[in-house]
This record gives sequence, C-alpha cells and structure tokens, in this order.
Amino acid sequence: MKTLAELQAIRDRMKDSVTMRSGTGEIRAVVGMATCGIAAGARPVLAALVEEVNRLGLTDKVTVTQTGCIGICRYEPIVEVYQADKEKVTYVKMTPEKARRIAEEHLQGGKVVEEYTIGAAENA
Amino acid sequence: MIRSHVLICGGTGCTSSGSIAVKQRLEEELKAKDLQGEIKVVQTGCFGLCALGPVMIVYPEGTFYSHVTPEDVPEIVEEHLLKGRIVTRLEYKEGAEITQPGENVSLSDTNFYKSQMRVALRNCGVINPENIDEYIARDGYMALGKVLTEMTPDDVIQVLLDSGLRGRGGAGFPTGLKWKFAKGYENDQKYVCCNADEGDPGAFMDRSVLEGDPHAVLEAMTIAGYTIGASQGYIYVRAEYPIAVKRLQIAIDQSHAYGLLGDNIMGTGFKFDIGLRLGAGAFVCGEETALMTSIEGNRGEPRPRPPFPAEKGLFQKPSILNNVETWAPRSPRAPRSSPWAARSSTPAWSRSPWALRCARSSRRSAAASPTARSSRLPRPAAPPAAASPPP
Repeated sequence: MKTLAELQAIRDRMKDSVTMRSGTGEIRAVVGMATCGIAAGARPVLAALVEEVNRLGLTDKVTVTQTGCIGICRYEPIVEVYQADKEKVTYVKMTPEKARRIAEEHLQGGKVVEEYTIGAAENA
Repeated sequence: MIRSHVLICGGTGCTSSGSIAVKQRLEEELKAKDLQGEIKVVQTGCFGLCALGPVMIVYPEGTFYSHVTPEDVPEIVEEHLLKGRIVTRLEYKEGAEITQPGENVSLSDTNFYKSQMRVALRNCGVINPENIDEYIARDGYMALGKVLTEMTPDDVIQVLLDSGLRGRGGAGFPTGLKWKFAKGYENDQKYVCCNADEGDPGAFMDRSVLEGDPHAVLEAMTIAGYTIGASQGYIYVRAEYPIAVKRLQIAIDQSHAYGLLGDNIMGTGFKFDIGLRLGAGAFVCGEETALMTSIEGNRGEPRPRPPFPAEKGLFQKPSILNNVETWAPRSPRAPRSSPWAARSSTPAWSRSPWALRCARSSRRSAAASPTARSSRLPRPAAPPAAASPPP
C-alpha cells in the first residue's frame, strides 16, 4: 500500500532517471571519445564524470555527453565544459580523479580548476 | 552508471515498420560491446512521426534518427554510442537549421515539433509505458494524491469547470458539468467509463495515448471515481488495438501492486477499480449509450435519452463516460498549487494547440456571421461578435 509520501519518494528516486530525456542542462560537459581519446583512457574519465554528476545530484543542471576527435590528440583525454555566456573551458590529460575534482569544484562549485586546463598545460 | 538513453518507439506505427527487430539488434550489439551498463534502452509509446519509423532518439544529445533498420544498428552503436560521433546519414533533418556539418539535430529542432507543446501526449515517446515508476517520475499520480488528501469532490468539479475542459471526443460538452450531474444523483453504485472505442477510419489519437501513457487515463478515471462517488470503472477499448490492450492491462496490474487501484487507495479508505472491456469492432459502440449497452453484455445498440447516463447509465446506474483524449490531459495540470492547473487562470489546457485552434475557429465563425452558432452550448471564451473589427 503506497501512501502519498511513498509516492513522492518514488518520484524523487526516479526523477534523475528520466531528466536525461528532457533535453540538455545549462552546463554541458563533453568528453572526446574518438579513437585517440579512447586509447588515452577517455572511457574511465567519462564513467567517473557521469558517476560524480549523479552522486552530487547535478543531473538537472549538467549534461555529460561525448564527442568525436577534438583535434589535439596529444592532450587526450579531453573534457570540455560549455556554459551559456561563459567561455568554454578545455581540460586536458584527464584522469578519473581529475574528472571527479572538476565535477565537484567546477560543475558544482562554479570554479574553474585552472591547473588542469589547456592553458596551464601549454604554459608549463 | 547509465550515461545515455536510447528511446525506441514501440507504438503501432513503428512496430509495423520493424522497431522490435531494431530493439533486439540494439540489445545484442550493446551486449557484444559490453555497453549494457552504460546505455539504457527504453521502448516508448508513439513519438508522432509514424511515417518516419522506426524512430530512435538518443539522449542526452536528443539525436533523432529515422527509418532505422537492424542493419543500421551496428553503425549507431559503434559510431554514436561508443565513439560519440553522430551518424548524420540517419538523422532526420527536415526543417532543422544546421549551421555546421555533422551538427546534432534533436527532435525539438524539426519543423514538425518546434512549435508544438504536447499536453495530452506529453509522456508519449518520453517514458516507458510499461513502467509505472517512470510515470511517477513525471509527477504521475500526484494529482490523485492531492485530490484524495486535500480536496472534496466539489472542489474537483470547480477546478474542472474553471479549467474549461470540454469533452474531446468531439461533442465539446463541459466535462465539469457532466461530472457534477453524475455526482448529483444519489446511488449506492455509480460507474466511470472510458471511451477507447476509436473507430473512425485512420484515426489513432486514442491509441497513441493508451499505448504511450496508459497510467494517465487510469489516474484521471480514479479521480473521477472519487468525485462522483463511483467505485468501479470500465475502459471500453477496441480489440483491434492489441498493444493498447496489453499496456492497459500491465498498467492496471502495476497500479494494483502499488495500491493506486483497489481497496483503500493511498491509505485514504477510497476504493476504486478499473476493468477492461474489449469492443468487437462495431462503429456504433463509440456512441455512449450503445457502448454502455455493450459493456452490459447486450448487443451494442443506442438507447433513447433522457434519461441521460448521468442519471441512468451503465446497468441503469449513474455513470459518466469520457473519451481517452478527455482523460489524458488531466494530469499535466497536476502538480503544485491546484491538482490540474498550476495557474488556474491560464491552465495548461488552454495553451494546448487543440484549444487554440478551437478558439480561433469559433472567433472566425462569429465574425463571419454574427447570428451563426455552431453549438448550443455557451461559449464563454468566444468574444462577442460586436468586438470584431468592422468590415
């Protein structure tokens, strides 16, 4: 026997599983998943990012998706973060650990993790 | 962790053009590539573009693939799902503004959908109709919960009257009024009926709703049962709609399992059940009294009115009968402040394309001929003829 409270609990639990179908969130995190990306380890990065976005409850706001070759294979795995009215941020040489930090600090906190960006890598 | 949903249409149109084979092939390919843990395959109701079937949509991108064959599936899995490259040759591009080659085209970008707001069909092609949890995730059964715990039957009737909802089977009778009449006749047994005997040649709007969002109909009928004081409902559905019949039965069983049908719904003591009755294909059984006679087990012949069904309907008890399309939009207006209309002054109902078209055509006819009245029903929405500009 379901009460209204139980019903609401089901709704809240299931909500995340259907939000993906209502279009894109305000932030798009795109993982390069061409041959170069996959070879460099983009798959675990993508998995870590998806997991972390779910864990932090950001599914309404953040869409994690994949794309083909971004064109700078030596920096793969690459994650790019798009947000309306903001400059695109390109993170390079990603690992699952770095991806988790980006999810927490950038996607949730709104603060770019400068040290992982392409700018930091080129200036190093 | 699921990172992508692949929606495959399981409506009658796409099933006919082979969507089941596409879904099977997809599941095999995902297994072969070991992607089952990352990609979720969902069979949905009708998207509304049967001519383009089988139709497939990949989220989160929202990529819209049309005319997908089983032979195309390995390419979609390899290129799109594994590598993130959209298979542009299968994308449906009609009317979409493509600024870069290879840019993603989503369903809402197409000419057919971009100016639509789907009300009755809001869940069709979005949820799996055979999974009650997905319906609940889209605020399903919240309207019922609100009605049962916070509202009196009179409140419900008032909300319906305020919303301006009229029978969408075609006659346009104010639904709130119909319910009010039925509530007014005292009886120990009353009935709620759903007309799903869609027999007009080529029509399939009821079928789309039943196949794509069966719980919406069940929820609305249960609300009606509470409002008029009925404990039993019947859905009279064509036997020629096997997928609709199957999904309705699944939905009824799931609602029972969740305590959303049966005795003591949501622990409030309210009792309501719904049964399916299959029509044998007689066109006349779409008429309300013939339909009720047929549910009773007799030959489906109309009987004279009065008495109207609100007084003596099914089994000579007070009854209401609404069309699938009248039941279906009930819940989108569900959630927050009032059970149906988020803002009662502008119900989602009045923003539906159907309502707009209606209002427009009635304005036109009023302007063309000030004395002409296509209906004897009052038309509160139509402006007086004098308000139209002078010729």
